[in-house]
Amino acid sequence: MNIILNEKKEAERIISEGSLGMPAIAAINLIARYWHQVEGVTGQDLHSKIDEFMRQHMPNYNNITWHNAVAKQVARADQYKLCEIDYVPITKKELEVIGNIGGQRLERVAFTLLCLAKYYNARNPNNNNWCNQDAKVVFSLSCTTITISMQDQILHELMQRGLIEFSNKVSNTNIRVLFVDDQSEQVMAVEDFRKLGYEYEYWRSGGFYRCAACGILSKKPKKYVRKYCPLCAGYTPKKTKIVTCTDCGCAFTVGGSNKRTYRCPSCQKKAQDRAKQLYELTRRRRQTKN
Amino acid sequence: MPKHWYNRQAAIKKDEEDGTDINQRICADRKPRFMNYRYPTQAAEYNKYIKAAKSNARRKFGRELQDIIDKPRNAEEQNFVNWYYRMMPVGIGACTMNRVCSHVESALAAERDRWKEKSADFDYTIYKRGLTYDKVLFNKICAEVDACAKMVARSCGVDKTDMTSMDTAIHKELLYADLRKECHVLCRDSALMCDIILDATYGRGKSQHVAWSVCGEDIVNNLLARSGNKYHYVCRDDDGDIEYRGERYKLVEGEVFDEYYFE
Repeated sequence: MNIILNEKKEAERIISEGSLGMPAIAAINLIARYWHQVEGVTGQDLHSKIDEFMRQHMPNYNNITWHNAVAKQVARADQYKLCEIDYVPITKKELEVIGNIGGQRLERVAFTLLCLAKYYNARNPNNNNWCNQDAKVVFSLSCTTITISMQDQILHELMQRGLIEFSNKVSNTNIRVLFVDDQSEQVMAVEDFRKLGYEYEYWRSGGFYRCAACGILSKKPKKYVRKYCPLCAGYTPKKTKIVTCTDCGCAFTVGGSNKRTYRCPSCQKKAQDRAKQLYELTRRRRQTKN
Repeated sequence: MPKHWYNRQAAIKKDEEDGTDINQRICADRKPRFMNYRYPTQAAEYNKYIKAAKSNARRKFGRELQDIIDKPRNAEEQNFVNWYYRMMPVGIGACTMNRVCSHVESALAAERDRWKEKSADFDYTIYKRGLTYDKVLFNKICAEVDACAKMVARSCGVDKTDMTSMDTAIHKELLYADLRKECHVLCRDSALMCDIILDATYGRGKSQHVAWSVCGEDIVNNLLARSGNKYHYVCRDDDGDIEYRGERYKLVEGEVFDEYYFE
């Protein structure tokens, strides 16, 4: 689950760099909303613009198979306003409440719930401190790996301490944070929602470093200094690369290991048609001679 | 199932058309639980409701749902149980079909638990060559395996109106082929890749189907290498010592001579 604080900035990055950085459907949703809400593009124009962008930046993009998915995102483009949050502020009193809990897991989970509640409060003023995420996502973001029954025990423990409450409805598993305090002095600004548990530990006691490539927090090794996270370290094969068409000069995206393609799809079709015509002509001439 | 059997509004409308009140009197309010086997969306809704209710019971009261139903300790727990039954999406009354379904489900669950217990002791390292590898490489291949497993799971949940089971199978095979290609870019040695994928799947409790689809041949090669290129298979024989479903079978040994299996 990738929570984006500043969707407008992310959409601009995707459009300018051309790298999606997320599942294709999420990227289409983001750029559809951006083009509709910021630039005012609507309807069929929006659909064509998205098709063109994806054709250039997603290898093997087929506008026929993706038609329904893109149409759905175009229809929903004005449903949710683009979120423009730079950071989520955490105050001194909130961190004191979390610090008094005692227990690394409980504190990480409480911090994660607080960040999620504040994020959704920023998106919707009527949110009233609800987290609006499944427990699976909460525990994943808090970097706490435990069984489902243990997860429920931890939430029960936090409820008994008066820090959270649950919905009255039997089938609703949403969680509401009760210790949000925006009036106190701000001491922390959370900009990255990928590993909230580590963000809390990093603020509290250090022992982590930020990857120089992707910016994610990772545990600091004891005996040596590390610059990149385990995923970015070592050989990282390129998923895609940009190639210039030898015929028309336009830039298009192909797979990272593709060494054969040097024409864009439209020029390749024209070249294949030309080759076919030439072959037919040669074949007829040979037949006429014989 | 006709709507007026389980929907009160539809029953009222039907009675107005027929000029009776029989449908309102016998209306069930909701579909019975045994209809889960006929309507997959109803089964999904019911399972989701039970899972959420069990989770909520543990979170709010620190006890299992069944304990609270059997012995509610206070008014709040009793209220929870009342609303649990009131908001149940299906009818769980003790009709004959519901009782038959419960009996079959409990027998199958017992059998499934027995098999799970048996397979928990299984040592998957017999499939491996026993090669050592770098943790960075292991993490990268784990990421690829997880991404592939996610896409396979997503393709199973897709609306299958336009797809046949053949299409789904082909789509899965393409995903596994992509995974094989991605892992081959990261690790050229297929034997090492097999060991890593086995640790990434069996070792982490992930889908074992991924391991067999991607490096099934290497696993079989490893097993043959362990057993001295010999294998056993079951053959029907009237004098055999294995009895199964009324027929007798015997175990026969075979040997692989193909040079492909030698290093």
